[in-house]
Amino acid sequence: MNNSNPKKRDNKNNSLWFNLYELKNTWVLTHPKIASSYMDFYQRSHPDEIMQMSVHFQEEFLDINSIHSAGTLRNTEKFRNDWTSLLQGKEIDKQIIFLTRNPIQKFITGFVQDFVLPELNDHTINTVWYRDAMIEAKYEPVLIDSFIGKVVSGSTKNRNHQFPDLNTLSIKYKDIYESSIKYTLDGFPNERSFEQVVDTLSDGHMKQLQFEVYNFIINPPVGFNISAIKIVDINKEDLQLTLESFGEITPKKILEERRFNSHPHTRSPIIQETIRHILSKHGDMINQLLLPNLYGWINLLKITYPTDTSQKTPTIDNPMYSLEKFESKQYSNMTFKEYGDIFKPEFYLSWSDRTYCKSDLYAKESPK
Amino acid sequence: MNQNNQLIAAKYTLFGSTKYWILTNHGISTDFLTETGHNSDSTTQYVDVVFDFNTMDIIEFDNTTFNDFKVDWEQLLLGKSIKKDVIFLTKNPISRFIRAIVDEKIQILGNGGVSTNVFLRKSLYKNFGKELSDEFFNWHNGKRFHELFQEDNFIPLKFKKILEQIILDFIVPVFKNDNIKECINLYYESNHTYQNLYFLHNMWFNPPTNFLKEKVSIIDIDREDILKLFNIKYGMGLSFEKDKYSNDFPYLIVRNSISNNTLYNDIEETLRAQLELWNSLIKKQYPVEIYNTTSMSPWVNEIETNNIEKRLNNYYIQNNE
Repeated sequence: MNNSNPKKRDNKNNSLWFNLYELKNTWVLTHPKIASSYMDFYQRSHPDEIMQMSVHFQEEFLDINSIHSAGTLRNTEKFRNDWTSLLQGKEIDKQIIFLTRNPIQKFITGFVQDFVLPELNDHTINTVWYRDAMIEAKYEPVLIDSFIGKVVSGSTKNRNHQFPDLNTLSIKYKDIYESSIKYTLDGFPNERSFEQVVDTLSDGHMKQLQFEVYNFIINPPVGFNISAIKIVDINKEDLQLTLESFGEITPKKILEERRFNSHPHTRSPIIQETIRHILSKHGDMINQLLLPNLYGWINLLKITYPTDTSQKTPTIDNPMYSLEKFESKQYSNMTFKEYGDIFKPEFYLSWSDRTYCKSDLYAKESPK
Repeated sequence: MNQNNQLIAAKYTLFGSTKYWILTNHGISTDFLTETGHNSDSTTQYVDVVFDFNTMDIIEFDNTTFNDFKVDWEQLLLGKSIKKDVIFLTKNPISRFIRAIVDEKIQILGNGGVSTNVFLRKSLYKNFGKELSDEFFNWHNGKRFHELFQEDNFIPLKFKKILEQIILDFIVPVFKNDNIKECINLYYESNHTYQNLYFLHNMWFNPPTNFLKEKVSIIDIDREDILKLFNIKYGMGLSFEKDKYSNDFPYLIVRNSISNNTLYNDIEETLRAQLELWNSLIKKQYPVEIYNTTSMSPWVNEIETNNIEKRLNNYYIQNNE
């Protein structure tokens, strides 16, 4: 772990670089942890129809610096041509979709994948160190050994060495399961060491461009045909249905579910514990890291889903209530428990959960 | 594992040179042979060859590479001499097993980030204090665990106890209780050790009638310096720099720790069948060697055993406190 400050990554993280997918009727632009695995899976299941590339825009999206393709080069110039047409105010054949997501969700999911899960696997759990820690936390040795056995046998069976999904375990392990996550997160004795860990996370997972996208949407280059651009918040909209509405043929649901079930960084119990802990103990750091992008994201929601703003009486569950606080800079003086105003960890599930996607992000009832 | 069920065929890894064929298995000088260019061609490092236990015929072989070996082996079975020698490499089953476990676990400590894990971190804080533990982690910072022991990177003496605790805590439990049998079964199943020792035993003591044994030798890599052997006997002019990330240091710590307690007896007991085969072979190959013929000779290379402490101390900087 190095000691550099995460702020040092700002320049790199703010470069306008996106994963780019060419579908039949749409261009999709996204980042790691914003449905990127879904898009990768989608591409792999339709390799002849979907092209995967990466695009690097010039400042303020004025032009394209470069487009790279992992495979064939034949399609890379098509996006450049389309973007040039939009800059000239012309129509293009495809819709351009920028995917977005609550910056806290994006950050935490990457944090879980890069830090929490590597700390919790069968190699680290099956040690005297873990056993001693759990004994100190007042768990019975029989329960600890039984839990270790479950983790090890589960990972041997799946050959993935990963911390199991809570749903695969007996309810008697719920407490020790959650304690293991808490213990891992308590590993940062202070803000500084948390900052050091954050600095080791992958650049892709840290990348947050919601603010830049928001600026682009409200203030596009002069003459730009902005009608071709659509913002999709993956938690507000069902991405699969959205793509289908543009005439795309999406992967079969059963394959999609299988793919997501194998990824523990999308599992809600781990995510929820992590969110609660990180927001309550390291809110200042999160604020420093994410505030501009939260601002950008909330405003993107306001533009994209204007019906959400129609409620005349703001409530705690209405994001615009928080937005007003945000705009009046009240957030800078708030304790970070109040991040719950804009993000409720207990309602979190992976965006790919159908029930959740069909419900409101700020629904009062937990998804089934 | 019911070992008798496995006694159908023996699988070896074949390396070659212009003057000899080498048959060995993972963990018995395979890195050395690869690094010293004992390859069939520039694209194939080695090939697998499978022998029938009873007839010693080759029953599986990739005949697109090293094809001459099959021809040579058939000649030996017919009692006809060949131009090259055939060398089988072997190693004490206990030390091979322990080293394999140590190597695997050290890789996990390094690659899985286990050596900086929060559970370990808190354990070190508790046992050695935060200041020294953090100093250790700063020294560790940026290096994988196995890179801490590279030969040009001396270990500060003040970290001796910490390193020993990490290595022993992480590795020694593998050898305990039920773990050991499961581990050995998995290990030997995948590495063909028992089958291959049995094959060598058959070949040496009960070969097919015409088999020309004079062109075949069995070499214990702990007793003989095969680099010297290849260079002096065969004039190969090879050079080899030992891997700088060699896991000798943790191996020695583990070996030192378990050589004097009941864990060793458990391992010996579990590997008794292999040891018996190996001992009878080695006594035949090295009849003048001095070691206790009434025991299973725990650590065959006695000289090496006696030097463990000295060899360990070579890793530490003595005067940097």
